[in-house]
Amino acid sequence: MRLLIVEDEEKTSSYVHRGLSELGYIVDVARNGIDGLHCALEMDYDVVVLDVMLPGKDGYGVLQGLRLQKKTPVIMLSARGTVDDRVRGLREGADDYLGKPFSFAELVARIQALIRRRASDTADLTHLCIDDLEMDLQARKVTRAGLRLDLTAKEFSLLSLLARHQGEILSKLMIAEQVWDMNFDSDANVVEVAIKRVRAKVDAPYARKLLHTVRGMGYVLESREESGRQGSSAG
Amino acid sequence: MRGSIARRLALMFALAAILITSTSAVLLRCSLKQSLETQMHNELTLRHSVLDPLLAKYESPAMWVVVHEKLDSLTPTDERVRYWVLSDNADYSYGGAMPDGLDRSKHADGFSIMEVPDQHCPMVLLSKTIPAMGSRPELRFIVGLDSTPFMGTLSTFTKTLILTSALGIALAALLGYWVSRFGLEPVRRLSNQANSLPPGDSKQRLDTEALPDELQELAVSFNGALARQEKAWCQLEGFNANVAHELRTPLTNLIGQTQVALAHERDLSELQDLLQSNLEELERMGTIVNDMLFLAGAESGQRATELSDVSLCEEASKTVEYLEPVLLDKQLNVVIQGDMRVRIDRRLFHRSLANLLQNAARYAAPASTITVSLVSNGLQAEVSVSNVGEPIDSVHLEHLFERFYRADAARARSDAHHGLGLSIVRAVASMHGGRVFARSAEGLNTFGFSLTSETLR
Repeated sequence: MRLLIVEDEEKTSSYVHRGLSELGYIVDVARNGIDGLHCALEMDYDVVVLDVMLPGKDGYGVLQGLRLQKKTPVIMLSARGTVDDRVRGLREGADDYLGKPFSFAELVARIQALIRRRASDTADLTHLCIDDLEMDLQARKVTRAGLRLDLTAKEFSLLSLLARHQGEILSKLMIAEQVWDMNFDSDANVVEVAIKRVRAKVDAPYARKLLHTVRGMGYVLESREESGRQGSSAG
Repeated sequence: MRGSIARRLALMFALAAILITSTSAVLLRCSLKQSLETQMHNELTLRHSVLDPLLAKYESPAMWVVVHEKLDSLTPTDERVRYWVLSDNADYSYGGAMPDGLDRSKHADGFSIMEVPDQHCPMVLLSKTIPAMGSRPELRFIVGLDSTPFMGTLSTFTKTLILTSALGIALAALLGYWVSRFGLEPVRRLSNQANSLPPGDSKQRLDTEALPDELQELAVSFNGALARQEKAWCQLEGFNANVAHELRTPLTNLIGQTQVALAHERDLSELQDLLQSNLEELERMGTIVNDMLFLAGAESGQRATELSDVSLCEEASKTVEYLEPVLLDKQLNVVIQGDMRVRIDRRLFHRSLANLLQNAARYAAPASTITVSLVSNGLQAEVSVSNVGEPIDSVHLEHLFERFYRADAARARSDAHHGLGLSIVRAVASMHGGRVFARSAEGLNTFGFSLTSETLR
């Protein structure tokens, strides 16, 4: 997966570059609108992350230039999160829009969503399988190593959300939105509590852990190699 | 035309003058015409009354010569007055054929008009029948009067009338323009005054003393607008100070703990803990900034747009479920009373109800019950959350929905939350055309908000 980041703010582009590279993406960075448009036209990227305020040529200009030739998915970033900016960005062909300040986890989630949308392999899965964990979404049945797990409705929808996005980091806010239909953070940490409960049922009795916490970002359900990034699975 | 009141008034004056003068001119002319006609009729009647007895007296054709002579002598050389006697017997006839060739012997007696060829004005005729006497047959005696001198008088009068009217109208328009300019002078003075209000000094007002009554009202409302602007300006300044103050605490923490961490060699887990703590502070700052922007939007009159039909009870249950851990911590029980279907932005509803619930949970007595009640109140849905708690002084009650207001500074500080929760409730209410309320009585503290829903109308 190859990504292009067009951002003149050095700190922003540097941590985004580093964070995405560490997640396994190949990341190019352009520091102004003109270079950005050039790169986006020359190379085939899976997603372009485009800041609105850029020297040389602003984000809307880059987007227009790009849309004349290509349909590469674009996420726009802007410090001016007004509704008008958002509407303008989306109208001129951006696929998503993120207002600053944004969390890195949120950006990753949106990039993954765009890549997934493009792959369009969204055939409705009813049966999911991660390592020895199996989920039947229709029968609402979960088994691990052949043993049936007893989950509450909320626990089931949480686990199935993670399973449908296996390997992707889901932020707390995204989980709250999908499972509880709430789009704000609260003191309650209901997501943490629910994750703890699911973990107690799904992971605790087994040696191989599947549900991992990514500090400061969220949670991921995946089968990790013993030698892999196990350091971060605490907590 | 749109630009100048003076010109509009002048035009209206001119229109009024046109109406008045033309009406009176037409009336005057009609009345003159009528009296001229009466004058002509009178003259004809007079001539008949003198001559009729003369004609009636003579009988034989021999005697009739006298009549002819008399009529000849009475006919002026300019033929301003003419006489005709019509009879089957040529001996009695006088005056020859009528100039327009009409035979008037059979017409009824009375006034009539006769067009004379080669003459501009018609003749006015008065015909009378002289009854037969002895050998003389019945006769018809006609006196004609030329109307030219009368019509001349009328047309001279009409010309003068038109000229005077035009002059009068022009004068009225001019005068109107001048009067309105003069009358509008205070408006000009007021606008000069408004123009010379200094920028940056929000305390300045217009001087309303010297103004006429009509303008005083305008100036007073203008001053009112200035006063409101000043208030908004002061609020904004206070708001900026609040934000800066609110961000100072997390910034101090961030700077301080990062400096401390960098001062010595630290192992990995210590640095990770530091970063985790920094992240929490930063997320808190992000939340404050986003909440402030949200409040600013609501205060500038933004309305909720993503409306959907929902059951309030259902949405309230979801919100309660989302806050379960907080409630469990204090062994609080939540009861939801009432339900209704309304058309609102459910996300904003979740958020404000969650804020009320978190507020209630924070101050509720442990192991007590929190009541969420959903009441329909006329056009509005009222949502309120009550908890058992210490009474709140009424001095604080009305301020609790203000940004960053804290009744008990020390106690609230210890919490991780910032003082925007209740003001967000107020913003959500105003975005739905509702308001907020707070009560403290009989050991129960109730905070709530109302929503205006289209389906309740």
